[in-house]
Parts: sequence; structure tokens; C-alpha cells
Amino acid sequence: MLNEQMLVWFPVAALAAYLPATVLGLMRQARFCRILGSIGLLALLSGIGSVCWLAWRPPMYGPFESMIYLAVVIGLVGWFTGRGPAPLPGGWSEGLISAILLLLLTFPAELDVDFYMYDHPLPILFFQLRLVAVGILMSASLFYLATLTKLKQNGERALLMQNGRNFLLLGMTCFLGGEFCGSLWCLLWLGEYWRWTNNFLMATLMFLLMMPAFHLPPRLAAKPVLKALLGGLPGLILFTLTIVHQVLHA
Amino acid sequence: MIKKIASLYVTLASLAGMIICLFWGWIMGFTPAFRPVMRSMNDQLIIDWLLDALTAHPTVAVWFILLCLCAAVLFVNLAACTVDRLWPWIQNGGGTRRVLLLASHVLFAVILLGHASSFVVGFKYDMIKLTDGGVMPLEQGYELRVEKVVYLDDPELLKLEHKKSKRVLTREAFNRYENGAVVSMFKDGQKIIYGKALLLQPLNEGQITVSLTGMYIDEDDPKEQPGGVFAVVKSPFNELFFAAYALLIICMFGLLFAGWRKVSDD
Repeated sequence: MLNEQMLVWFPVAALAAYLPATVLGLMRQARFCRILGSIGLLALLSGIGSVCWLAWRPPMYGPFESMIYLAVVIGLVGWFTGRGPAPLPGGWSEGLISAILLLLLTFPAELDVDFYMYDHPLPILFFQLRLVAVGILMSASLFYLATLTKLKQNGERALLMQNGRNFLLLGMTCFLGGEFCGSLWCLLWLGEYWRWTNNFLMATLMFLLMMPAFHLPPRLAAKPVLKALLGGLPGLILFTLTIVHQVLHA
Repeated sequence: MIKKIASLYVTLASLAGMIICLFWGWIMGFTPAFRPVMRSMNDQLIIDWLLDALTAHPTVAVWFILLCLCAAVLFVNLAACTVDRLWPWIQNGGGTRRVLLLASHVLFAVILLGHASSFVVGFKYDMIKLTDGGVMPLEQGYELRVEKVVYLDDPELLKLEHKKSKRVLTREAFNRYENGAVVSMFKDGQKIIYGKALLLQPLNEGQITVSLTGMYIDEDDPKEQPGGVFAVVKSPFNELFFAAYALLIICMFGLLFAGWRKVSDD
């Protein structure tokens, strides 16, 4: 029977696939990288399923649940764009997932606390959408940063930029959806939808940080490095803050 | 003139200003000297807080005013951009993407206005601690009365510090469907609200919301009588705010699908 002690094997299995996938990706062995990445993704998805089965809720927060969730979202974006016209450079998303899993394995593989509010749909949706947004925004950052590398084909930069922009907008929408649920949660709990706390200030800061990439004057938009940095920054910062938060509060 | 106000450079400058202010506020939230002042912003309507803070806590007051100024510049820029640039686009035969772009900007402006209005309109009382029979007179002839506090679980749970309590207040240990408080709300002596307030299930009547935000037991109380922590808020624009917010998210999804395959036209 499945129990909490067995949860550790899912990231271990995923890491066993993602580490060689990273190496193969960097060696431009795209096919083998994709096969191993798919195996790793299946292991991670099984881990998510196991969390749902054991806790009777989707993954929420806490190092184990949040990091495995982030790895899945980044893995899914990498997998779906892998065969498109502008995939990420080989080994990038696999390398990032490997790093997340290595960090995850330094924490006990245990479920997040079963806080009494976690049976309400609004906190659940808030955490789900927040984690999905962080994963997607981090993927957008990878696409933007990839435009700064040496590209062989003409037009590849524009396509990578377009992928970055699409995922930045998708991540921003998911982030806003999460904030909407969080505000409703706050309204039901504390009687108002906004609180003057660090969490609310940082969430608003992050949302505003996503806006400049969509509001560049033509003269600035013509500068690819600036565009890439402005598009890539929100995901990098939010991802780093999420990881640091998990590490500090573990 | 309107073209200058509608400029994307003004957008970037106001966004940068807001980001800097929010970061400054975030840092102050970690600073022991400012943390209690920041927290006190949640206890009452912001306009009431600001009048006191201008003399008592000028640093936080100046921070808040700067944040509002940056938001006001962003709002004016947004309005000018909508009139000067987005509306003419639609008039010249817009297409779905441009209509959604216009709608999302208008909705964002409505959200900003709704948020600003909550700073000055209505009233707000937070952290009202009452036990059985406790009464709290409020402004405009309102009065909150606690008929009975119902708590069926281990009293020790309510004595814990906030940080520790999250780990032990589990679904099994704390029954949020039973623990609560039967309360009455009066307006000029007339009962307008009566019912059991639960955590995440406030009582509403018109623009008034009575929320049970927590439960407590005084450590010095030998009888260990449980009490409720309440918030009473009168906020007329909540529906408008959330309706605009939801529509904005729908518009953004629409924009996403309308522009997903389109080659970058930045």
C-alpha cells in the first residue's frame, strides 16, 4: 500500500531520468533527451497523483509538494513546446528540473500540514494557480533568456521571443486568477479582499513587474536584450522567492 | 498634451514608481520599527489611519502617499491611453484582439478605482475580541453583540502562538463547520443580522459583513472561556471590484488565445 514514506521514490526516479536527459540535451541528442524527459515527467506526475491520493487534496505548499509541482509544470511546458518550431535549447528545462529535484531531496519527503482551511475551494485554487503561474513564468524566463544565446537559424529569436511572450501572458493570467481566488478567500475570512501585509505587497509587485514587457515603447522594444531581460525577470524573481520561501519555512 | 500623458514612457515610469514603493513597503514590513505600523493599516479605514499616521508615523504615511501618487499617475496614463490610442483602434475596425485589449484596460481602471474607493468609503473594525454576551458599539448606529461562542475542540489549541497554530489546527483537530459564534448586529436598536458566523462563512446584510476571523482563549482566564475575534466591514464596492476582476481575467485569457500563434508585432 502507498504511504508517505514512499513519496521520496517519485522524485528519485524522476531525477534518475532527468539528470541523463540534461546531459543528452546539452550534447544535442534531442530524441533521447525527450524520451528520458518523458519518463521523468511520468514519475513526477505519479508523485502528484500519490500526494492527491494520500492527502485527499491536490498538492498545496511546503517544500515537497510545491517543488514537485513546479517541476511538473516546467516539465509539461518543456514537453509541449519540445516539438514546436522554437523549443528551448537542449537540456535547459531538464537541467532546471534536475536542480529543483536535487534541492527537493534535501528536505524530508512529507506532506504539507493539513490546515483546517485546506478543504475550502478558494485556498486550494489560490495555491494551485500560484504554483502553476510560477512554473509557467519560469518557463517564459527560459524562453526569453534563450534569445540571448547564439542562435543559428534566422527567425529563431523571434519565435523564442514569441513563446516567451505567450507563456508570460499565460503565467500572468494564472497568477491573476490565483490572486482573485486569494482575494475572495481573504474576503470570506477577514471581511476584506486586501491586507497591508508583505504577501499582498509582494504579489502586487510581481504583477506590476510582468507589465513592462507588454508596454515597451517601439524604440525600447527594438532592443532584444532589454526585451529579453524585462520578459525574463518576473519569472526568475518569483521562482527564486518561492523556492527561498520554501527553504526558509521548512 | 493628451499624447504626452498617454505615452508608454509615462506607463513605464509610473510602473517603476509603484514597484519601488511596493518594494520599500515590503522591506518596512520586515523591519521591527515599522511592522506594527503597517499592521495597523488593516485595523481601520485607510483614510482614518492616514490622518493619524501623518503625525504619528510620517515615514509610513509618506510611503503610502507616494504609492497612491504613482497609482494615480498610472490611472491617468491608462485613461489617456484608452482615449487617445485604444479607442481610435476600435473605431478604425478593431478585431477581437483590439476589443479585448481595450476591455482589459478599462477593467483595470475600474479595479484601480474600486480599490481606491475602499480606502475612503464605508467603515472597518478589525480584531474585535468578544466572549459570550459581549457588545461592541460601532459608528453610524451599528452595534455588534455576541450571543454565544461555540467551541467543541481542545481548548489548548486556542492558546497557541499564530505560527505554531497552523501546524496543529488541522482538519481533524479543528472543526470549522461547528466552531463559531452566534451573533446579532443592530442598526439604531433594530436587529438587522442574526446567525452563526463561522470561519470562512461570514454573515452579510447589504453592504455590511460580520466575519469571524479567529477564536481565542485568554491565558489568564481560569474558566477558559472561548471567545471570537471579529471584523465588521461596510464596503459598498466589493461586487463591482470582483466583477471587474473576473472579467479582466476572462479578457486576458481571450487575448492569450487570440494572439497565441500570431507572430510578434511588438
